[in-house]
Amino acid sequence: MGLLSEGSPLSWPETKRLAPHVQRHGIEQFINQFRRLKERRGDSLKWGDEVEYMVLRLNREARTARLSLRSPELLDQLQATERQDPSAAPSLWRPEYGAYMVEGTPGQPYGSIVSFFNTVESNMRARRREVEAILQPDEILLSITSFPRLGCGVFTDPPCYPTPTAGSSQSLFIPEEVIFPAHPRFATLTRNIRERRGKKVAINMPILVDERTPRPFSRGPVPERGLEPLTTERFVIPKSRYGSTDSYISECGRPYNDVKLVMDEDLLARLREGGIDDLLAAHVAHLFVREPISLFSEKIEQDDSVDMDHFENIQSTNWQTMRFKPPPAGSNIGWRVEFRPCEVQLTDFENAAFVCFVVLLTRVILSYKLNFLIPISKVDENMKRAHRKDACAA
Amino acid sequence: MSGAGESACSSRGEPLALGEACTDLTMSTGNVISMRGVRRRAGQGTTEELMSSLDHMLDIIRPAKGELDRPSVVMAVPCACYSVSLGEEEREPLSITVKLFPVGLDTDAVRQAVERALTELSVKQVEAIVLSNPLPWEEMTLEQLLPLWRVLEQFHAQQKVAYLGLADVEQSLFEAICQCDQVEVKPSLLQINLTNCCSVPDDLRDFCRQRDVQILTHNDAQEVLPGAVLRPLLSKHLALAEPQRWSLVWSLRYLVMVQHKGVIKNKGYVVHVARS
Repeated sequence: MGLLSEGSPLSWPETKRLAPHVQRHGIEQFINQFRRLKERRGDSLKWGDEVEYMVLRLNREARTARLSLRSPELLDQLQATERQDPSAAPSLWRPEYGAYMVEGTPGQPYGSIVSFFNTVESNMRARRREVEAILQPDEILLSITSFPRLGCGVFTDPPCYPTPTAGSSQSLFIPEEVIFPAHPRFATLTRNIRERRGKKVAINMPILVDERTPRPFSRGPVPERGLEPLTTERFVIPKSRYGSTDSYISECGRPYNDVKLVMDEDLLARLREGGIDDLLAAHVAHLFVREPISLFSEKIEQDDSVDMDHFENIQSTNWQTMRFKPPPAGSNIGWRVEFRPCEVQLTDFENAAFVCFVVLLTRVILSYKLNFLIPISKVDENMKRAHRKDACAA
Repeated sequence: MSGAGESACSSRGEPLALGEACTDLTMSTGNVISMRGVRRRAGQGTTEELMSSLDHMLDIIRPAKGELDRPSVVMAVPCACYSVSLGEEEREPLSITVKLFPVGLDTDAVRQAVERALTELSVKQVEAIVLSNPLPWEEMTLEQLLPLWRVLEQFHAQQKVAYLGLADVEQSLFEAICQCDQVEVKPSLLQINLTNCCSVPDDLRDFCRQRDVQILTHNDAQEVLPGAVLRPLLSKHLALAEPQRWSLVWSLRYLVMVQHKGVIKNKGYVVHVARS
C-alpha cells in the first residue's frame, strides 16, 4: 500500500526540487531509528501475509467481466471494525493502486508456534468471505496478478474511457477513474512518474499477427525509448525501481555481493558516520539514489528524531523483491523483512501454501544453518529467466 | 557420504570390543543439527536419521581404556560441537520435548529413558515428554498403559516435566485415559501419525479442544529402530560375543527449540540396548 501521508501533493517540479531535502532527512531518520532500536533483542517470531484482490462485475447474459470501481466504498465498510477497535479487527484492509483493488492482511500476526501454520488458509478464507459478504450479487472477488482485459476497450464498471491528453497518466488505454481516487497518493505518483520520464508509460506487448484474424485498430505508434545524455539527473541507474534486490545485507552475504551499487557517496558516508554497518549502509544509500515521486506539503518539515515520512517516502517507492523494514515510528513492532517476489494465486490454498513455505524455509535455514546463497548477479539472472514462459523447463 | 549399510566397515578399522561384563549399552548421537559428516537427504525419515547419526557417532568415538569393561557402558561423543548441555542462562527461552520409544511394557525402561534425557541435556526440567505407544495401535489397553503413565506422572510430581503426551494410541484409549479417575496428570499432547489417520475426526478434535489437548502430527515409524536395521549397525562397529542376545530396550529423541523463534537448536537421539 505504501506511505499514505495526508495533505496536498506538490507538483512534480516542486517535488523534484526537494529531492535532496527528502533524501538527506530520510537518511537522518533512518539513522535515528536504527540507533534507537539496534540493541533490541528477544523478539519472538511474528509473521503475516498480504493478499491483493480485485472486484469484478460479471454480466452473464452479455458474457462480460469488468473491473468494478467500488473499492473506496467497500474499504469504508471493511475498515469499520478497525476504526472502532483496531485490536478486535479480524482483518485489516487497505487500498491499493486500483479503484477496483483491496488489500487484506490478518488482524493479528501469526506467531512462533508451529500450529499457526494451520491457521493461514482459514484466515485467508475468512478475509475473502468478509469482502464477499458486502459485494453486490453480480460482483465477484478475484485474487489474480493482472486483470486479463486491462486496457482492452471498455473494461470497467461503470464504463470509463481513457483521456490521453488529460489526467495523471494520460494513458492511451487506462481511464483516470481506474486509479484509486480517495487518496491523492496514487494519482500523484502516476502524474509524477509520467512527468519525470517525459513520456507516457508504455507497456505495449508485441503483437503477433495472425493473418486470418482481423487486425486490431492501432491507436498510435509505440514511442521509441532511448537514452538521452544526463542533464537534470545525477545517476544512470542500471535497474528500475521495480526490480530485484541488489545486495545482501547480512554478514554471510558479503562474499556474494558482486554487483556494483549506484549510490550517493555523501549519503553513504553519513550512514557510516551514524553507526550503520557497511552492508546495511550500502543498501540504504543505494535505495536513496531514487528521488521521491510524491511529496505532500504538510510533510516537508519533519522532526527527524521521531518522524519517518521522508525515509518511508523513498523506502516505499523502491519496489524490490525484498524489503528490510525498520520498526515504524511510535510503535512496538520490531524489524521486519518483506518477501515480495511471490505472485498472488487464484486460491487461498495456493496463497497459504506459498506463505507457509517461505516461513518454514526460513526456520529450516536457521535451524540447520544452511547456506543457499549465490552471487547476487546470478539471482538477477534467475529473476530475469523466471519471467519467461515455462521458465523451469527451458 | 556415510550412512548405514553404505560401508561395511567402520573407519576405525576394527570394531570396539565390549567387555564380557557389559550387559547394558547406551548410545547417544549428540546434536544432529550441527553434525558434520552426516549428509541429510530430503524426505529422510526418523529411522534413517537415527541410523545415520548413530553410525556416525560410533564411527568417530574413541573410548578410553577400561570404559568398555563396565557392566553399563555409555557411548557419546565428548566433542564440544556435539554437546547438548545447556548453560543456565540459555535455559529460559528454550523448550525441550522428549519423545520416548519404549520396547514393550517395562516401566523401568521408561524411567531410565527419562533420567537419561535429563542427564544428557544437563537440565532439571523439560517442557514435554511424549510416550509413543510400544504396542500396535489396536492392541494397547488402558490397563497396560497406566503403569507406564504413572512413571511419567512421578516425574511430573517432581517437577521434572511440565506436560505429558501420547503418540499413536487409538481414539477410544486416549479418551479413556483422559477421563480416568486414577490418572492425576492428564495428557496435554496427542501425536498422530498421518499414515494411519489422514484427517483428525471432528469428535476427537472437539474432545481435545475441550481439554486443552494439542494435536500434532508426526511421521515416526511404528517401530523406529527395527532389529533388522539395528543389528547390522551394532555388528559393524562393535565386537559382540553373542550378538543375538542384544536387543533394543528403549530409544528416545529430544528436540530443543528456541520456542519464540521457531528455530531448532538441538536434536538428538539416545538408544539403549541390553543383553538378555
